[in-house]
Amino acid sequence: MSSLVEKQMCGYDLIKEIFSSCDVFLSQGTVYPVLYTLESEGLLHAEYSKGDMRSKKYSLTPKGRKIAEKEIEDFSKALEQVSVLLSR
Amino acid sequence: MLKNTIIGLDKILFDDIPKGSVILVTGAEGTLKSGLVFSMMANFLSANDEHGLYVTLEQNLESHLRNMKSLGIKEEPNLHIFDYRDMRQEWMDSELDLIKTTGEVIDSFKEKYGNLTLFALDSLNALYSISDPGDMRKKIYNFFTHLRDEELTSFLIMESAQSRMSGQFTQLHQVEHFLADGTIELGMIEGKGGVKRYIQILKMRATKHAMEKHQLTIGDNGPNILGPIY
Repeated sequence: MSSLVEKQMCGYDLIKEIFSSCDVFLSQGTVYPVLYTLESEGLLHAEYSKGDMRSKKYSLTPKGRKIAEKEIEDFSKALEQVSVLLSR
Repeated sequence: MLKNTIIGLDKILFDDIPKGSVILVTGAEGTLKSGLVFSMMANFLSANDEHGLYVTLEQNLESHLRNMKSLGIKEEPNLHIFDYRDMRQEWMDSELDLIKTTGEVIDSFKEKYGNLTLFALDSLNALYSISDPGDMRKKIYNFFTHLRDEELTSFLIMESAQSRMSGQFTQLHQVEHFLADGTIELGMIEGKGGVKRYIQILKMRATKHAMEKHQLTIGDNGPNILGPIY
């Protein structure tokens, strides 16, 4: 979800983005069901881009954005604590 | 579990289908394969606090729901529908291993909804047509094993217009029939009163069932099974 904070993406874009930034290939069978579920739960909004009916682009709804931002904040805090523990 | 989900199903199914069974639903185009399976799943889930997954490779979500609505079958919130439209439009077929991917889709939904107990794939033919044919028998065997390991009562829809001749299945579909716990055949038969749809259980392991063809019709709330056709 954090990848969608900055821009709209389709499933293909997300998998490539995660691969290039984290060096992890998440399979299609893992990513697409999550997108479908988050859409059905009202956390993502999906639309076909004008002139490109091939790609369903996902973006965060206000509710989804709130949750994503909270998760990022919690993760950053946890990461800071781990860094402190490791530097002792 | 499922024998009371369709009006008249108890005329051909005397015991319930054991949980975790893998059932093939075969028949020519227009014989109500998708409608029968979707209706059984939706009706079961509307009365039980469980979840189901219907994976469609042939139609997208909207078109599938439109078709089901036209048959009088209501949408059921616990019956999740996953279509491959987006995936297939964004990736080349050569980049997708749909048998493996379908297994992962099941795992994702199972993780999300712990009590996922029903699964349907519409259809095996579509899966084959876009899958690498190499080592298909082993892949199918592994796929069936995965469904059983997950204890999913599964319906695999297979269009088979020319598959059964003189009581024998062609070699193409023998593997699935051998591996499956049950086979339900749907078809059309021409009689004095015109063309009628029928349903016949050819095989159902550990379940008492009728052998005769029974008439299959569409009622106000989806498929109904009437008496035997002689």
